[in-house]
Amino acid sequence: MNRDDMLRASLRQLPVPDVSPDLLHRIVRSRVMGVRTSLHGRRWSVPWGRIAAAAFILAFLTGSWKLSLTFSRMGQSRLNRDRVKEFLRTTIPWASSGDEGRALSDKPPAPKYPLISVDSLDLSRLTEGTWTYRSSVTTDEVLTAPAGHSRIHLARVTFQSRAMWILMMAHSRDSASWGPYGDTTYLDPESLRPQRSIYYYNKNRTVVVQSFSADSATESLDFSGPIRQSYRESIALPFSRETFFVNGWPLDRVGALLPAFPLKRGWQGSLYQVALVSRIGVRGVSPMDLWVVGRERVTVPAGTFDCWRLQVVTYFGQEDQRQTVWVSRDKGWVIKVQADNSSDVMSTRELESYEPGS
Amino acid sequence: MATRVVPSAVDPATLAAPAALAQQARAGSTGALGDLYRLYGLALFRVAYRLTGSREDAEDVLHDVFVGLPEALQGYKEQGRLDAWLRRVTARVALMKLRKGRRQAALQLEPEAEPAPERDVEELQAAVNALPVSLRSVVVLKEIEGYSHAETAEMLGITVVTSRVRLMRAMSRLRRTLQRPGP
Repeated sequence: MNRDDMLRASLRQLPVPDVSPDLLHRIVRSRVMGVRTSLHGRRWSVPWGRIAAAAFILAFLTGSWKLSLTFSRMGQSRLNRDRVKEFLRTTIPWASSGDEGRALSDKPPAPKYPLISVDSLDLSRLTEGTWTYRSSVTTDEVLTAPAGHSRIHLARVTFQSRAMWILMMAHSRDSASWGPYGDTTYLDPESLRPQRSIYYYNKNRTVVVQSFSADSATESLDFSGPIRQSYRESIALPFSRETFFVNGWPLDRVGALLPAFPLKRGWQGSLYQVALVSRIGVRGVSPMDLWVVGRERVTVPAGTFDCWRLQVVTYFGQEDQRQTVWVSRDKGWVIKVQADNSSDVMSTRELESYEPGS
Repeated sequence: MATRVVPSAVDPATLAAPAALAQQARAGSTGALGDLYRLYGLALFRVAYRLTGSREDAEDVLHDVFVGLPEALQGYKEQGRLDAWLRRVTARVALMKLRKGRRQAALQLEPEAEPAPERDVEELQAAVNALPVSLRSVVVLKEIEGYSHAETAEMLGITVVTSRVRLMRAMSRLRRTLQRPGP
């Protein structure tokens, strides 16, 4: 007999006191006096757990319904729709505004230097691989804080039965966790001009698709989710078929293709960036000027490189952005980029590693 | 002068068959009610006492059971044993009494429970009385009264799983309490 059995046996043997001898008399007296009791009382317990669960589900459903109703009304109300547009325009950098950008029919501003021709590019210098950069922001020239990592991948692929270069970009808060490449551009293998580009933002809720022919460009911007918005523009390219250009965010794409550029001391060149609806201030075609200002040895996490120092000016509507780019002389890789965002904030990107393509 | 009757102090053989007594009690026979009391009163008192932990409450329960018994027998279908049915009814009334919260905070070993209990028995009784009502009910019904978990669960309005869990917790508590060295 184990301990539990002994305990059970002891429980069954617990003594019970004697019943009062007059209990039956009290029972009979109560009966005679008309006292009655109900022995069928069923226990009604309040199922608090089920009530709480039901209340939670009800609250959740009501909240979801109210929220969807709110979004629906936001979309239906003319006033609110304008507010939504204004919100998107002011807070999401790729939501364009017709007021700020140049009209599509406008003649693009003149580039500062001769346009880079596709014939001048040395395609043999392009190599497959993955370049990883780390970014930082320096405030007041003192406080430096990390600002994530970015990765650029360049490879030869076959797209729609055509041999092409594919240029992909991804970003990460820390180098440990990389999401999928959300920015993909297919490049013509002979001219390096973009053919098609797809990039996702805002947790894939925003999609920008660009398609290019020899003479035209089409771009669509779609916001999914409760506030659906779509924009679409097409233009005829205002430059010749022999002119090199880039799409969307220019410097990243130019940087990946810089090995093909004929850089040398005193070199100067300009190109066009095309963004129809997805960039503030770049509505249509805007120039980008590059020129070599000197040679420097630069040390970054990936090593020390003998570099060309380039000055790059990108025009955004009425403003321009100035950046200094160090490009390795032998390989043409972008080693370091320093952008002067404002008088107080300096953002820097440095090459952290390179992995050759397979 | 009131007649003093102690349950089970009579020879059951001298009484009519339980079914006949139930039929007569249902018809309002006080004599039959008294015979049923003599036949089953002590067993029912034990159930009530172990559940309530108090002689006074147990007697109240027994009083209520027998006062309401003639009417309750109207719903008795005579499909099972009468004593088993009465025990279930008594347990239900005792649990209802417990749930009403009367005397719950004062469940102490009453001095008249046993004239001179052995120390082990006294400690065990104190440990049982110290259990929360939810656990003590399961211990009494399952381990002492011998009901199955399904019957215990039905009487307490809980699930069979809950009954098993409560019994396990109750036994664990009892073991811990009894292993603890005394003052």
